Amino acid sequence: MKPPGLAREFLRRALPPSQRDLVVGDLDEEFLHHVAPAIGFAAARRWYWRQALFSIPSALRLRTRVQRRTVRPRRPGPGSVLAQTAQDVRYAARVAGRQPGVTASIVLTHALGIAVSTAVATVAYAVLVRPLPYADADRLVHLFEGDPRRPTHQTRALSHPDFIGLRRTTRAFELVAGYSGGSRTLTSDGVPERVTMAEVSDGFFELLGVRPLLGRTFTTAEASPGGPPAVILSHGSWQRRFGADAEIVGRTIVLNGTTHPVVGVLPPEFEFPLRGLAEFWLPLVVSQAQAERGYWHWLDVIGRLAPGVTHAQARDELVGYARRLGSDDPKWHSSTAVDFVPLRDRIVGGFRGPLVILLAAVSLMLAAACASVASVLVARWAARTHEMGVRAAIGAHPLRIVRQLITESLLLAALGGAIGLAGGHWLVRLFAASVPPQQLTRLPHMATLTLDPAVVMLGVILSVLTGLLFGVLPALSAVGPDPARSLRGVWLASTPRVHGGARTVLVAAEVAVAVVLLTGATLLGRSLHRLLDVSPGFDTANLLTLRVNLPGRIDGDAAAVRQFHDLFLDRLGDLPGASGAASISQLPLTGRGNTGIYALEGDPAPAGDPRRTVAIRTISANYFEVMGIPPLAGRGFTLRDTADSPPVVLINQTLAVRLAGGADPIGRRISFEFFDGRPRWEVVGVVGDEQFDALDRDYLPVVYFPFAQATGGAFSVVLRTAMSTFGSGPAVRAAAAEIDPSLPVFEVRTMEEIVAGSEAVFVRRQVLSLLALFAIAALTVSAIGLYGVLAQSVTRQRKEIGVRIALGAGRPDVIRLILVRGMKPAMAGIAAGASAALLATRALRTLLFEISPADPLSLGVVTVTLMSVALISCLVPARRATRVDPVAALRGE
Amino acid sequence: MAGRSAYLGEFEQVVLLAVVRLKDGAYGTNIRREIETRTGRRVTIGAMYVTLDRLAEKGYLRARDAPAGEIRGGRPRRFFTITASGVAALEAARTLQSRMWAGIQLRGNRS
Repeated sequence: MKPPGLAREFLRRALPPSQRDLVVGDLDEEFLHHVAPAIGFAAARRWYWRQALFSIPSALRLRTRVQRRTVRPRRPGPGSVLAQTAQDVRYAARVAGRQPGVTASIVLTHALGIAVSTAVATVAYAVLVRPLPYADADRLVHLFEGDPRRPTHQTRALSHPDFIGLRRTTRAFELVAGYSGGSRTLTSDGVPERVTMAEVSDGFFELLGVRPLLGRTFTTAEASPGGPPAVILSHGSWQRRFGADAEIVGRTIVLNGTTHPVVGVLPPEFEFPLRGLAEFWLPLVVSQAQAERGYWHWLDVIGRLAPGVTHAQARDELVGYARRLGSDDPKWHSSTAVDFVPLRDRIVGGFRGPLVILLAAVSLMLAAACASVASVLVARWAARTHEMGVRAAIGAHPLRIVRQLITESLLLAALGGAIGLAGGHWLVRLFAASVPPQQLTRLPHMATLTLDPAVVMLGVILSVLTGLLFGVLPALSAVGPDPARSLRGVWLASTPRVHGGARTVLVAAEVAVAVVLLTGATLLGRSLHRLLDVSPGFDTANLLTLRVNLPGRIDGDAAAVRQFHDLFLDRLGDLPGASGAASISQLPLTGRGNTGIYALEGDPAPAGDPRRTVAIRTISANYFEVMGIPPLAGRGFTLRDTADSPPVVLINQTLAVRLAGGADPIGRRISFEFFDGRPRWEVVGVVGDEQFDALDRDYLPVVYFPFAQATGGAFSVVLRTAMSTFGSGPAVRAAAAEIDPSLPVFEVRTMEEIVAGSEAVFVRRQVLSLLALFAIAALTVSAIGLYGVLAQSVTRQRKEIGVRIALGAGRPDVIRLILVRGMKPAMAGIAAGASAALLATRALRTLLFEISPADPLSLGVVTVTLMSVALISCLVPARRATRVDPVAALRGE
Repeated sequence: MAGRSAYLGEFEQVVLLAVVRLKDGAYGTNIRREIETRTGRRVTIGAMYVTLDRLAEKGYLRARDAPAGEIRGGRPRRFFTITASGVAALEAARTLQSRMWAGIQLRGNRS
């Protein structure tokens, strides 16, 4: 005849130690001497169980009463703070180590968010915020001259006379300097190599505040016609080509057959993104024609505002200058405007929008990562309610508990932040390595890009804030005044509902972020797909391109040049695997290039109307055949179109429509002002359009001249190969060397490389790949979050599920129960995310191509994707719920 | 505080009265049985001890532990006796009640 030991043990444990014997003694005595004799042993045992179990809440309350009387909460003493902190850190590390999976997921999510956001912020900060690496960079501007009626007038360069005039008269600008660029043939040890260079007027380096590392900058004499040659080396070129020779100044190099003494070396930090790849800097020496012709707009001009001069004052002066130009030279400057933009805007240009979009996207991703960390921390805290209750009950001061929790979340945040910053550093490196140099050098600070100290600080602050916010808020609610309630929580087997609710909201937010990012990525992906589907007017496959410069000995001899041109194309066309080689003055998809204003015979329109600007190209007779551009009307060029035959041109379809307005353009004659002697060129044929500008632009009107009648200097070659262009490069170089070993062949690229490297494709692809990365990260985070919430709720409701199964609920019923519970926050998140996406994707508008920001198909695809992911995340816990053993679940209570 | 602690809750009155009734024999088992048999209400031992603890804290009860024999496995008994302020509190409660009841007839059930 013994009382039930288990019931007694339950009660004992709940009671304060000082009263255990009293209470249990009373209960045992009553059981043995009063109850059992009266109602029988079995009934007495039931009585004892009832007494014990129903006493547990009171026992716990008793415990806190005793506690409160006997133990006063101790405030942390001042001397022991360090020791306590050390203790807190040790304990935090133990807690973190106890659940390595949870800890890893918190730390890695946090690290991912910090890494990606610091990397993107570093790039954005360098490009958009950090001052350009010049003295008084905020006073530097880029000047341009143009005709407001022309669509491209923003980027128009100045003519040399206009530059000189401005320089002479300006008061608003302290310094004005011009620059241009191109390439030259460097001959060292007899091997020709095409190198990129820049030409700058005197005062250029002084304007930027650049002091050479070695030697000096150019003298005015060197930058004047007929002045002595000189060259300044970029730091990179000095190191690469001349082994950082400290005695380089005074030595000579040969460029385009002319000997140039090296007068200086630029410092390593110098960069000029508008001529980013330039290795050699030469004094700008203008030709007689350049010096005289006010309508040749070829010189890029930068200026430094005088101290204290505002942009508005400088603009006023330029308006006056433009008016003077108009009255002095009404023929070419009647509607000229001269204006400027800050130098940074000119440099950063089209990259600002994408960078801002990426910053916004990365902030969203960071928010999703924070939400995910928060939901895990909240869940973890909910599981530790009991621990906190015990701590409070045995006398821990609430502040001490909060401090412990802060330490724990800060430890996680510090770990995540450290890994994240390392990852950010690595991502920045990866970015610098993955971007093609011609794009990378177009942006400021990219060559020396490392994680910015300001951004690192931001990352640290973000880490700490995330840690504090998501560690402490739940912690504060944990340390309520009544530890008994949290202790009782264990027996009632339910974590407070509010935390489940918070988690649900967080998960819905994660899903919403994933929807927004995924929608953005989908829209961009479809844009890119459509863009790459746009035909540039010719077949880009199996097309090798290269540039070639004339050998110095035939320069200026038109007949010799034509002979060389024909021979060179013949040799290349005869290469094994090649089906034809043709030439063009500037390759498609590489920019507008040379343009001119035509006059049409019999057209009363005034001369020089800028709306009649056309692109001008010189081609070999077989160009269209090699490119696969169809003839539409008239004839093409033939071998009978020679220097001595009547001058002829071909025009493209866009120009044909504009020129004749539906009438037949064949046989009409056009002329160009800049050809002296003004031959009338007869239009003999119309060909299909090809894209010279970017893929996302309209076709330009083009006039094609035959090489035989418009013989020029350097030209580009397109070589059509039968199979792949792979491996054709060396064969082409060998063929060129056979004709003339000193012949520089350069920029050997496939047409597909040109397409991929073009800004229209490159920027979209770069933004797309990052957006896709963020979207996948957010998707993963939300799937994990959803899974976590459901798994937790299944665990919590094991009893309920057990009861339902016991009462006859089948598998489908249980699965439906869990799915409904999980899909609710998912659907809420999808709905919220879809509405947010409708607003957010408008920011993408400039990057989208032939697709609406509210494209229903994209939204639909994203919605279905997320619903599927959510469903899969819910299925695992749902299946686990169906395997709940009702007996075990109920007994486990 | 004095006003609040002077007031006795219903269950506190019941427990105090049980202690008074049991005179020297007022310890856990007896008090609980006394209350259950007199009121017909079920009382858990835990709830009763919380109230005893509170009454002792207020100074209405004095506790004294005494060793007990084999009958409870060697565990001691805690005997309670009412203090003077406990008596005063009970009297105050009764006065309060009778004042409130004075002159009240509910549906003639009482004569």
